[in-house]
Amino acid sequence: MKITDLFQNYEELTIQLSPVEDVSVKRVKELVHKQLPRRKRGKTVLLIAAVLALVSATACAVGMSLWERAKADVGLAPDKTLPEYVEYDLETPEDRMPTVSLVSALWTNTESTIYLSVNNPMIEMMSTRQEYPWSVGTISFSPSDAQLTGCWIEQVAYDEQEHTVLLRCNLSVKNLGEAETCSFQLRWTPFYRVNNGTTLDIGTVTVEVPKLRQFRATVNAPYENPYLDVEGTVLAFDVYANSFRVTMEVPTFDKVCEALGEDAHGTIAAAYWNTWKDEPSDPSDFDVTDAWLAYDRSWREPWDDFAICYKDGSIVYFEDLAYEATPIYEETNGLSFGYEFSQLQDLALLKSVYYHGQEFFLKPVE
Amino acid sequence: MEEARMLRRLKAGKTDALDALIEQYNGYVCTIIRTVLGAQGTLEDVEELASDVFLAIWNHADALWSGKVKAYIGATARNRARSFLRSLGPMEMDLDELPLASPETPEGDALNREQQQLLRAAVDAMGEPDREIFLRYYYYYQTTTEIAALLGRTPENIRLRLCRGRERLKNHLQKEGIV
Repeated sequence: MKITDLFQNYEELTIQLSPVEDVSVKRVKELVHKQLPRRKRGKTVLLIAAVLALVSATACAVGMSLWERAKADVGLAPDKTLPEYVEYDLETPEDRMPTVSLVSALWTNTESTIYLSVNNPMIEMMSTRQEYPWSVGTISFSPSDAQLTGCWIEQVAYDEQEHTVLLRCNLSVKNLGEAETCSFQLRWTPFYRVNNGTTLDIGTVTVEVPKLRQFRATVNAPYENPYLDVEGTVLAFDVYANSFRVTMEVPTFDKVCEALGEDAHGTIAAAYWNTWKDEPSDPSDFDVTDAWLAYDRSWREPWDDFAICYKDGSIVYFEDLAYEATPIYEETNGLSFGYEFSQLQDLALLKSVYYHGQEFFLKPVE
Repeated sequence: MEEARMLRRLKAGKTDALDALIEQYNGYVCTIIRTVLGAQGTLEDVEELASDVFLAIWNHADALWSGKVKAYIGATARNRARSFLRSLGPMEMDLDELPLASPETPEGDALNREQQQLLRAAVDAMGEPDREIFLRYYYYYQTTTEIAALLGRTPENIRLRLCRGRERLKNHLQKEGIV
């Protein structure tokens, strides 16, 4: 037995060592960041410069079916099923033209993630060299006045054996609740034809919208802004399969500026932005846009005292649960923003939300 | 950035917290790595190993607890530097072997929390300056000549104290049933 091996997990803080000089923090940071995986929405995004590199890199999809790949990408364990997540059989392409088929779809009240496969893709379609080659053309919801507010399509994988491209299509939709079906046209714009406006219509996809579930905990509890001496009220938590949303009532920006007086913009901006800087800026260096952004963001921080309680008695705290705090928009009657879960949640297993020392029970929203 | 807040953000995958961690602990990490590497390894090696340490922390942020960050980072830095030394070839530590069976641990390598406490007690029980000499030699891989120069003693005296420390450690570990 080696003595040095015994010290593998030994916590040693007592011995004075001669400090090393000349090491560069900047260089270490660069080295670290170079090795960090690129992340977007919790998934690895492959950005590969050349078609050949892409083909070889994404050939890793071989061995996993399109459905397995899509499930892994959406953040659902292989053996799990959710009412919000529906898988479909592929349609067999009739000819050798590129055709689109539905693989699976995840629906929540605010957003849907639809996985599509494109069979017989042209060689350029396998490439991610273009920034925005795929797009949605016409889209309609039936019977509903649902409105598309945002759309983003990204290539997830290319399966060399099946000669199939897997796409992830994120749709942000307002008033989705009443919709039964959603139909949209998938389009592709070759990079060498962007300037003359040529776009290929790959096909139209129709997806059934399942009955959507949403659980809400009504809260009405105070929340102290961590940067400013201002208080808001947390009105409710809404939980969906892929995210939760916080609705707050907060003083308006103008009202807070009025209360702070002449140097309000500098005070607000410095309170937030200087937290992230090594060398604090003088408040007078900030303008009204800095202040507005700072005020908006100052409410969107993860909170100490927040957890989700499950029916089986387990509790998961915010930092273990939410992967990315991405504000989900909306500015009506205060502030409403959301956080995405790193893994999809089965709403049937959730019991309550724990916040500020109190438990608030989640109830289905009819 | 305040530690608890930094940890929360680190666990949530926020790179600004990683940057704050690097700024705060880079000097400490590099000092440990430089000490363990001694004359071996360049400044670039130190920086690369430091980046490995911070990446490991980033990938295992869940293992970090407020109040224990520095100790955890220090242990990670020491172990990374040690692995690097091992990759260069066999390490000459003629006093490293204890004539005892390996501890009974599930993985066969790291001691569990309770065993770590007993090890700490055994090391603390050596008293000064034996404890410091022991840790400098076995934890930080400083040579007997380096330790002698640092503590104003002769290398022979250091070796003598290390032998004594080894005996005490062996007895303590046997008595406590760790080995």
